[in-house]
Amino acid sequence: MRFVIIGNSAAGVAAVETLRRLGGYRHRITVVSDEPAGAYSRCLLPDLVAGKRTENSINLRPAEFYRRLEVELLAGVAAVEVRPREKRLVLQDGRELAYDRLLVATGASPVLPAVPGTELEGVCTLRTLRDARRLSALVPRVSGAVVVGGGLVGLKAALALRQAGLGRVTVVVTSPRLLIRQLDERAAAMVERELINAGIDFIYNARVKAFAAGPKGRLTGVELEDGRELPAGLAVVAKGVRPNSGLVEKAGGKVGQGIVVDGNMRTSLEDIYAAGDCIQVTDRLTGQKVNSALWTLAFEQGRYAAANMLGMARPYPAPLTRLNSARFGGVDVVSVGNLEGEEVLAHYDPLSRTYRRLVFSGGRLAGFILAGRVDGAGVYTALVKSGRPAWAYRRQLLEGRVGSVALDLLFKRDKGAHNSYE
Amino acid sequence: MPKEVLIRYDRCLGCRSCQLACAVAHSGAGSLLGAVLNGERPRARIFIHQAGGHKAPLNCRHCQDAPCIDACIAGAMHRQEDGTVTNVGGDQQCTACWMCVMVCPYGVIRSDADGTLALKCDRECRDEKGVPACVRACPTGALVYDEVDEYSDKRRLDVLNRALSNL
Amino acid sequence: MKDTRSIDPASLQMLKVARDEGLETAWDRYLAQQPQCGFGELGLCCRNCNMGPCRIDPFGDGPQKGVCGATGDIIVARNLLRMIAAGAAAHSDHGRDIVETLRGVAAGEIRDYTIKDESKLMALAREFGLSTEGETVQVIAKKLAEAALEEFGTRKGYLQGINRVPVKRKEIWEKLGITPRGIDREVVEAMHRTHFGVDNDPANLILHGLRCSLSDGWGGSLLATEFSDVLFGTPRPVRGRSNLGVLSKDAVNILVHGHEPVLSEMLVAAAKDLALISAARAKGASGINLVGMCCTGNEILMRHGVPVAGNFLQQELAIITGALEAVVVDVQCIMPALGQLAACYHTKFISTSPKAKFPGALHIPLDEHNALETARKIILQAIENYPNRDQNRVYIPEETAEYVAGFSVEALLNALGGTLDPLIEAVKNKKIRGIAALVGCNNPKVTQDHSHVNLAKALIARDVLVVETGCAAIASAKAGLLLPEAAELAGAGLAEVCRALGLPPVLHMGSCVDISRILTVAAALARELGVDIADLPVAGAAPEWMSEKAVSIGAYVVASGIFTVLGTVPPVLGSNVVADLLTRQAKDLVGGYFAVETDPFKAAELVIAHIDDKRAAMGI
Repeated sequence: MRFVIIGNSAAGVAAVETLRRLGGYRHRITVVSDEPAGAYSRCLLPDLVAGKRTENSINLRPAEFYRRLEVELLAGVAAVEVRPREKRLVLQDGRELAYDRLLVATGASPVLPAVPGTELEGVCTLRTLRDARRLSALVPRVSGAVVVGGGLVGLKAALALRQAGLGRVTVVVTSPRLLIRQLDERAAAMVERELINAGIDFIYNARVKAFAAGPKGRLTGVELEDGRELPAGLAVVAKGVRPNSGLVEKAGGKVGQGIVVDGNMRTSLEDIYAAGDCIQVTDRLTGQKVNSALWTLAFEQGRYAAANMLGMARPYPAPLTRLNSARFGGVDVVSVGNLEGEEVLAHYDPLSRTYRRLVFSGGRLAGFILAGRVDGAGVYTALVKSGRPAWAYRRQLLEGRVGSVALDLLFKRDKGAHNSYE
Repeated sequence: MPKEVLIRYDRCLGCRSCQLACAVAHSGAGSLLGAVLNGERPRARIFIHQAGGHKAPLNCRHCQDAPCIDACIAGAMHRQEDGTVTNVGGDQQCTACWMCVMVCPYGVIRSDADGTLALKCDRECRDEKGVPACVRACPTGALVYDEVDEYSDKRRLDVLNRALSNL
Repeated sequence: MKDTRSIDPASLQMLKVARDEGLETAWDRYLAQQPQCGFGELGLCCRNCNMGPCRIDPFGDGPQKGVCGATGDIIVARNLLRMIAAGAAAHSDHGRDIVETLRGVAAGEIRDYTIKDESKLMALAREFGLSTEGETVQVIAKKLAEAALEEFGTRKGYLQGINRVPVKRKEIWEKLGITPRGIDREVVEAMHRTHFGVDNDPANLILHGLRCSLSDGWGGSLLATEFSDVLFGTPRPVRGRSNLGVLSKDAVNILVHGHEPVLSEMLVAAAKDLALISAARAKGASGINLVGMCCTGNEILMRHGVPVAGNFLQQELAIITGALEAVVVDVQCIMPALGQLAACYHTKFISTSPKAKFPGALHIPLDEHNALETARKIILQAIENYPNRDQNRVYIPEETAEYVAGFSVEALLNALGGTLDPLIEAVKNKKIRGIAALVGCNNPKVTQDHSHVNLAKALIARDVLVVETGCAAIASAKAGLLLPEAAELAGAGLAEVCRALGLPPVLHMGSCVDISRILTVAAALARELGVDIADLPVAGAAPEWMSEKAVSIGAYVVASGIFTVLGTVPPVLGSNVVADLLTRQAKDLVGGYFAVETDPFKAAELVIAHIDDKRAAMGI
């Protein structure tokens, strides 16, 4: 069988590894990527900009990965068309690849606001290695930067720019506070304090009206809707991403909040599968259709897609689509699941300087936020994921005594076995 | 068949000997007195908890479809040939992003003392017979290092392991 | 593979027998205990109240305080103080029994004992400030015993024994507030201080530990030694044989084991009873062979030349010879394993102290008022048991070694010609480099006797006169180091002195309470030289120690100003504060301090370096 995979990040790499692990070496695997080289960790791009890491050290897999797994890598070339009836893939350079099964793992692209000036030199995003290189090249030439967007990518970018040596970094946030999709007010304030200490300024409740150009077509500042103008030679736009679903859509495949796949990661087109940031998933908690857009999900979807491509029916369970972990200075944050629900409990533990917020719905843990220390976060995540009754554990969960919760769950689950051994 | 550290819950007295042995095995000196005299601060990767009337150790199960491997953004978390899941000694280095901490259902991945590295059971503590330090240290035989099926055959079911696939 | 459990060939043979017979010994149980609790090894667990038990994570990862808030430093210090208190209590309670016996004898209530050393009685009476003029021995003895009993309970001022030390030493104790008061009081106070919510200052706790130990060294132990001498005779050099080979193939073998000489003295007398000997012969035995073990063994070997079958770790091995008709025990260092082991043979395990009962033991309580009769009863039990011996299961190792023991202070002075001068001269002209006291137990953590024998050999080879008590002394007996002939193993200077005086290079000074004899000599030397004990070129070592008594000993030796090397690691490393107090700060406070060195050859270097430092400081 001939497998072709478009995309070389988390989903693509996980698919390749799984195809080899479960399918052995009798199949041909080709990976097509518009990225210039091997897979890298997208989440570490801010570290690259910050100068804390080199390009080599953010590689996801070692250089010999493709050779070792006997995979043909066509790097630096985009796929431009899928012909599902012919089972062929057309590349940018005119080449055509025949496939038996195709995996679309094309990822997502940053959303740019519909305002004047986004095309200017100095207006960047931080999604790819190319973006990171471009940013790094600009940093020494400017004195200040504006980051548009108070989400995870924006804040990481802002911190990276400060660490890279920029004197002035201002984050423009549409919402009244940062990380509005991940954190509540208290946790956001903890993160904000760390970032302010790191020398970052914030402007809330503000929208960008335009990116202003100087005489040489370079960015000189960012104009806000309220009339303020922030001088800056560099702007990073971090307003979320949009799935790269165009290839499938053009070929006649179904697309919603991303490429629509069934429970076995199949698109509506025969023998075409999709995984990663380009697809639409159903949130496990809300039942809403949303774009996937999480590294962890991309990885697991890549694994599931590969197994299904090999003919092993592996239904992919509805994922948690809000699953975030980050570190800002001395504050680690983890945010999973819903931010609101029937019962909300919150507690700040001054001894461990940790804030915990729990969201319960119907006696089940529907979401949580940890800010400060995040040890044991996975136990909360497992509770959210499993949907088991958790109200009885609220105290332990609130106080961070989760080891005992993990144990108790296990005892309860298998009481029969517990009584029978020995 | 890969071996695992299995737990006979009714035997655990909560003495924390496994925890201490784990920390010592991950110290520079490699001995309790040596580590103490050197002022080292090694961290344990096995934890004693109490649930109801039971005390029991909780440690990494080296899951089949390990969520920590999926979650690792650096590509550091990987599975070794013997089944050990670890973020050290692989192709990439841990970046302390805590993604693995966020997804580990047992809560047994933690940060190191400086917050620069995720620590977990790496089985870098096995003696010449291949037995992990925590198992050697257990005075009551509550910890058993064995192949899962063999252990089941002895009718000593490991609750943790059974529950794993369901969590 | 080489068996590293012992260097004693007799022990190694018996361990093989034990394995063949499927019998368990302390070494097996030690292995079964591996790995031992790390919190315990570091002294970091506390069970002093029922909010606990608590333990402190030594790596700063887990809990750093107990429920009450006690830190690792506090817990380690409290635990150490309790160990000292237990050790001091053991020695001192032994001492009290001896004094009580003397009082009973003087009062005419106890008839089987007599006062054997009247001149020592008189000397002690003078030391206690009692008028002896015109009084009978009985009256003086009674007054002395009563005065000595006063040392235990509430009294004004300080212990009598401390007057033996140089003024400088007294001043150091006074300044630190550690001059020992009542013997019982210090132990009680130690228990009080370590009770929940009392003393929580590590240094204050350790200082009281020193005071408590001093009440042992210059109190309980000292009384045990001196009053035993009065009652049973002051030891003089005597020859005898040692090791398991002293057991007889065809006589009724009776092993006395424990610490107090009260019963064993009577057993020694009764074993010579012709009626009992003929009773033994009537059972087909060639006679009665009474042998000792541990410190009861030491007590009767140094007074009567009774053979000593071995030291602490050989108590089980003696039973495994299959040749013991009876093991008779009193108190201390008796393994509770003996009952079950004896049951595997015909051996009767007989306990005699109301304070010390054991599983599987036949209890024949010692009645001081009828002690000889008790002894006869016990010996009869053994004789009756002789026909039950299965000669096919008997394995007695051939190993024996001769010893010369019994160097009490008086005997030593006698050997020196009545004064310490020859010794002082020899030290001054460097024929004797210094003096080291080797004491203490066996411990399955280290090869039996390896550290004792090798440290003693290393020291005498470099002209350090070695004085020993307890199980250390028995190790040397078995290794032949207690003979004048062993002078050939000594350095030229020490060898010359030994040959001139007819002394062994390693002097057996008695049981573990008799470390008070060593203290007395050290104090006398210091006074002669007009210096403090801490100024002398002397050192102590407990190479294979295991008991709480050894902790008390170590503490009072150090508190008396003597540098001491421990050969097994004490449970204090969980606290830098306590470890530092014991190994460094103690030097400034009391002159003596501890070092821990498990390798006897390195320990020898430490001892010699210390001795050389002290010589240099004295300008000799």
